[in-house]
Amino acid sequence: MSVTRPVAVPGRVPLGTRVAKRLTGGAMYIIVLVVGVVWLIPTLGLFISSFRKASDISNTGWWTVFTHPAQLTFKDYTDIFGNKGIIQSLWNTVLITVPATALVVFLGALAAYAFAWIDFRGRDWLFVVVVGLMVVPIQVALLPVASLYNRLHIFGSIIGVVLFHVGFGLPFAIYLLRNFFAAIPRELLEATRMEGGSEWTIFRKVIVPLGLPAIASLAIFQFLWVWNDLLVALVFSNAKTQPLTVALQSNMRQFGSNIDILAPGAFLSLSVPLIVFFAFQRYFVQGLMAGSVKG
Amino acid sequence: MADVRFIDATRVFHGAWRPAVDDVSIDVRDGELLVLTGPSGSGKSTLLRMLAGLEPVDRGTVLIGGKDVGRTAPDKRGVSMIFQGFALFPHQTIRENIALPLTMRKSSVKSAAARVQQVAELCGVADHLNAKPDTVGYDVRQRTTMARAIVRRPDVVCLDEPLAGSGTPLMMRGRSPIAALQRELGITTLYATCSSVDAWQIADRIAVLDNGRLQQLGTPAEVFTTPATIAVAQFLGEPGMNLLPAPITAGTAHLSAFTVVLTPTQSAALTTPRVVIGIRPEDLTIGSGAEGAEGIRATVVLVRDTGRDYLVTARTVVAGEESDLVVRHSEGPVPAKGERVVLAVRPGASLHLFDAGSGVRLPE
Repeated sequence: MSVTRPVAVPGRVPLGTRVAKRLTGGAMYIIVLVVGVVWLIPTLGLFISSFRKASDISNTGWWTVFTHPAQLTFKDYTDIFGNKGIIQSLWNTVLITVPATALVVFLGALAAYAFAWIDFRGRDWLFVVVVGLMVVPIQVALLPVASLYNRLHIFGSIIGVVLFHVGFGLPFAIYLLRNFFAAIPRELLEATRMEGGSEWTIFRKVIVPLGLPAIASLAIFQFLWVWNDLLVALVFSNAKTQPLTVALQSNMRQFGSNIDILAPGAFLSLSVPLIVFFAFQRYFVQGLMAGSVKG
Repeated sequence: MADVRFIDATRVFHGAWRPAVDDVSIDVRDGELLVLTGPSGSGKSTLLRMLAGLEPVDRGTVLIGGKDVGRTAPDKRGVSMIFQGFALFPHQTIRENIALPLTMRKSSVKSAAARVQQVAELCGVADHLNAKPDTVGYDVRQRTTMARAIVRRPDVVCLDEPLAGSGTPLMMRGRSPIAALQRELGITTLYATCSSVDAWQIADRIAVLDNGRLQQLGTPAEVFTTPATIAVAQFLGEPGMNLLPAPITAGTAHLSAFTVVLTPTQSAALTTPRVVIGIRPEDLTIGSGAEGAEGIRATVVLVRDTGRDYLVTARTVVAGEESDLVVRHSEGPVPAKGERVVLAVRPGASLHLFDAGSGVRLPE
């Protein structure tokens, strides 16, 4: 049997190919560069501001730093590391993000395996429900969940925030992983079953290693969402359990703000997702294509 | 080592309107290489999977070494399976892949390593043990699956379309040591394939399935020379047998200027007054279209050059119905497309007669 390849008809390049070709050309690089720079300028301004005194910030623009480098100081950072509230909220962010990510990945992977490979009654209908849950906006659930938490006495606790994130993270996690797991060749699962592998063994020895690209990218996405979340934490945490995003938000006012806390705090908050992104960008690209290309 | 018996084995998939495997009874002898063949969807893979324990047996019994394995877990049956598309783990080395059946059974690391080395040498993959499956060639991957299948000393090996789509079942070719290995080790082997030609050269016996039913079980020669049903006749041989439906009047069928006379027993066995006459392409010769010559009058519609001979397709009309006949033409002038010819049956060649109603071969 021969391998069939799409035959290129001379003179008739499909539109998609032509667009793709244009997009990878030099013009595209310039557009990307311009957009990137425009987007980065405010961030750069914030970054530089985080090294300036509050009085300087309110009097002159951040760009004056290029002509007066003497303005630069680490005082804002030393202040913020001495600020108990900010450090506590950073710690809260970690306490919320890590379990919320781990639970979503673990439960999502188990459920996805069941949806992909275990035959049980009503499986397809249940999966339709799960997919349907993806479109439910968070806002709809805020009030009912708040009253539920009140009754369970976990309103304002970190557990409450984590559970909310897990609940709303799972549908997408299950959906993404199920599609990826379903593309794993059946024979690999059966080869393991033939040697006495239980469902749990198959999950550990076949599904997890072969599904790793999707699992890793899901973990990254989920980590970033939870780390950067403001809305959920704003509603369900209190002054003691609030994460960094809420702590920073409380330093913003309609007229003026505690810029000396905001600027370095924002960078503290930003640095972790940046590290995660650069460390795992390989999985990012793979994860975005999860399901579209066979694993 | 063990023999395998299927007794009225049946499997009905959930929601299917007919069984995937329907009342199949086969005895596989100890050490035999049985080829299961038939068109795709005929149930041969399902039958293997029932033996391996990957599919339940809905009705009937499957015995391995005389023991009913209906409730035995797949890993306790002494059956190993070679899957379509190899099923090697891409993230593990060839060594780890071969060792899988041993590591899954928690055998001691030392004895497992020795056994893997031994099997790898036997199958000729000892040089590649540290490579990942996607870095080695097709042939090595194939040998690796074989090594993994025999590493735990199974009684029965099942090969499920091991090389479907690849076009070259090297594993079973004469130049591959693996076909010889099967003989040497004497492992009872069931080999499911939809390519009848490959099955040919290696099988001790062939079981032909169609629509989940066993059509015929016999040596390759038996199945080829006396196909038991129309399905077998159609499926075996390359190209398959020509099949001409013809009405029977007074114990005789007419194919233009060619007549077939049925014996009284054959006539009695008919369920409808129609017969299907089977003629192998090898058993037909092309004569000139001279008037009065006895034979099947036909018009050439296609001539294919196979390199060794020609496959001539000719169209004839039997009782108002058009039928195409393929002739393997090796001597004499090659007819041109559109030419009118007379097809004769080679002297000494046998015709195959089937009841058109049931599809069963008529008695001699």
